[in-house]
Formats: sequence, structure tokens, C-alpha cells
Amino acid sequence: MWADGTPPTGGYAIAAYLLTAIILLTYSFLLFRRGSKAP
Amino acid sequence: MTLQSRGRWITASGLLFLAAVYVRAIWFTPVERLQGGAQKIFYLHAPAAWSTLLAMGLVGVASILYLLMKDERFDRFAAASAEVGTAFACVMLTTGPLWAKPIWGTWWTWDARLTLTLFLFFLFIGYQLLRGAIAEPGTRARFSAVLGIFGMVLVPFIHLSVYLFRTLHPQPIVLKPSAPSLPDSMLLTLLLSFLAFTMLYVGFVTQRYAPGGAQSHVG
Repeated sequence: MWADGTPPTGGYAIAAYLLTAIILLTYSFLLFRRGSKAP
Repeated sequence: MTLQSRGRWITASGLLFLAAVYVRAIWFTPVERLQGGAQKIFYLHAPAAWSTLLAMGLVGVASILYLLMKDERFDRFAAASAEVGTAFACVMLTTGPLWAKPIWGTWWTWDARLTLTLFLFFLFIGYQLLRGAIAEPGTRARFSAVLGIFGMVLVPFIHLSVYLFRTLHPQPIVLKPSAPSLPDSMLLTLLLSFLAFTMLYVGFVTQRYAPGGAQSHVG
């Protein structure tokens, strides 16, 4: 427990926020790259 | 402005908006007392689930319209929505276990909601494998439309599974008949995140649907 009584679970949140950003940015990049290649 | 560039603009706006949601969720939304920081995963997990179910629901609607009208634009839209839904399903299935581990004590449990959701993810994958396996456009569109309709039928079961079965998964706190059970500051963050994910869905599908975007697979 932190001093304010909340459990120390922030590491899981950081991992979730990072992984979400990685997935969405990667997919955006792949779509962008494919769109640029299209005739 | 072409459809492709319109999709890019919507996607870029959606990403910027999501970045703002990150800032609000991390620094300007209170920490829940019992769950701690892990509760903030909810601001990504629930909207990702919404986008996934929206994607599969619209795959089903477009599939029905294709079978009725034989217009290839509906088939193209269904293919676009299925691929985008797979991306959002990845977010949903990544963030869910990251929340479950500290709160439930396990990464995964085979209860109704989780199992049905995993099944939906496999259905998304199967839908795309099916499309890749059939060369003749008419047959491909017809077969994948049938699979798309099966996927759509799954959507209400997934939403209602927490009422129909005994399950560990929390019940809906926003999309339910009574008022949302969240403080206003948390509810606003959640609604903004729903909006950001919906914008991303629209932006992704627009890019994927645009001419040149739907002929090949990502990569």
C-alpha cells in the first residue's frame, strides 16, 4: 500500500497505456504506408 | 480531398485526441481507492471493447446488405471493418489481462465474457484468413458475409454475458439501463476516450476502405 492507502498497481496501468499506444501507432503507420504505395 | 487523405486526417485527429485523453486519464483523473492505478486501464479497455464490438456489428450489417444487394462496396466495407476490429481486439485482449492480474490475481479466467471475447477475436482472424484463401471475388464476398453475420450475432451475447452467466467480469457501468455508476470526473474521461476510439475506428476504416486501401493486406 502507498501512504494514501491505494494499492501499488500503477505499473500495470503504465504497461497497458504503452502497449495500447504501440498497437494503435503501428497500425496507423501500416495503413499510412500502404496508402502511400497505392496507385 | 480524396477518401484516403480524409481517413488520414481523421486518424491523425483521433491519435491527437487520444494523447489528450492519456494526459487527462493519467494526471487529471482521480486514482480509485481500492484498485489504485490499475483502475485507469479501464479508460482504454472499455472503449477498445466498444470499438471491437462496433466493428464486428458493422461487419454483420454490411454483410447482410451485401447478400441482399450484391453491391461490392458493402463487401469492401466489411473487410475494412473486420481488419480494424482485429486491431482494437488486440488492445482489448492486452489491456484486460493487465487489469485482471492485480485485481483478480490471475491474467486470464475461462468465464463466459472472456471466452466469448477470445472467440470473437479468433473469428476476426478466421474472417481474414477466409478472405485470403478465396481468389474469386464473388465467392469470397459471399462466404465471408456468412461468417460476418455469425460474428455480429455474437456481439449482443458478449454484451449480455455478464447478466446471463455467473462471471468474474464486472457488469457494465455506462451502457446499462440505469444511470452510469461513476463519479463525474471519471465518467468524462471515459466518454472522451470512447470518442477518441470511435474517431480512430472511423479514420482507420476510411483509410482501409478507400480505393487502393482494400486490395491488399496490411504490411
